[in-house]
Amino acid sequence: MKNSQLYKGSLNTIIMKLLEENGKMYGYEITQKVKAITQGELNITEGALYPALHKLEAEGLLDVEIEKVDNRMRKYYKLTESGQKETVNRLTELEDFIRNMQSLVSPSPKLEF
Amino acid sequence: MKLTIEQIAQIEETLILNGLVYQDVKLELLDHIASEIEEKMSNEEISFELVYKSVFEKWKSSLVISSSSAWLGVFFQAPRVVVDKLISYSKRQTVIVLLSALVFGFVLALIVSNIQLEQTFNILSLGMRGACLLLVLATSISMFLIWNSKIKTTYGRLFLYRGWLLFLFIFQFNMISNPLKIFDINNSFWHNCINCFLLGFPFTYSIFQLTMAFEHHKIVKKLKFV
Repeated sequence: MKNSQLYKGSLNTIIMKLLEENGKMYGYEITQKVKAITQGELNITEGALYPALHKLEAEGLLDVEIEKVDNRMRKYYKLTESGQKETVNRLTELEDFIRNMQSLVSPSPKLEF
Repeated sequence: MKLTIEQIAQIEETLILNGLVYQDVKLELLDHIASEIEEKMSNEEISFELVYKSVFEKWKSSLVISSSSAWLGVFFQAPRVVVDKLISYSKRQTVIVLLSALVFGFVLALIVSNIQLEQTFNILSLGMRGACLLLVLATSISMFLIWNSKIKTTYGRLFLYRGWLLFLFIFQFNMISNPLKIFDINNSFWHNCINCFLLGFPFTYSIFQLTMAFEHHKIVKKLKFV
């Protein structure tokens, strides 16, 4: 993942946001979606994606569905009811974080009279 | 370009050779690798064999055999992706088991300390022995079913690895004959509370071990419906 240390803390929220928008998604689809949205700037590696998905599943925030597609089985992830509520909380947290970072990195000029 | 049944089988064989025999993780890695190979073959117009090698190269770190002595014990070894998954599950389980045992211990100590009647003592003792027998029965049946199951899952593996500890706890706490013998009216409330927590731990531990067996059966059921 590009600038992994900066993105690492937000990976779970990114996944939850994508699942909130798309209903259900499979692993490879998530990596491709992130790549497409960020125009190739952000690349989620397999080594980061699956531990994040499994952690969210263990926390009861994700549920899985299995379907047969193209001679193989495909595991879809979707948000549980508590996962949907948690997504709202985590997105608010992330937005606050981005706003605070924005203020710190490029503070608006102080008006002096 | 869609992969053939033989090409999918080749990917699966490589995953199994790398120790990934657990269906719940294997099927998603197989699908991810197959999807990536299909896309590369379509975009770059190169042969399956070439793409197959380059894609598996990326998965090397996730498939390397590893362990976590702190969370899974020194003897538990599996591909990193499996170990990471079970560590996430174990961390959450440990918190829940300890908190439940604390609540159990506190409530039990409170009841026994305040209602000092032999009848209450006997009812509690009988209830705990009954619960203990049910747990032994459920654990034994689950272990037998998972052991004989053709479908291997990460949860099943961890259950078989840890489930037998219940029998050790029963032996240690003499749970079948007199589980409340650790309670002494002459001890302080907090002393009894700690003893009751120690008694409650095997119960909550075994109940949450059974949730792993339940997760295993949930996956097996989902796979059978496909």
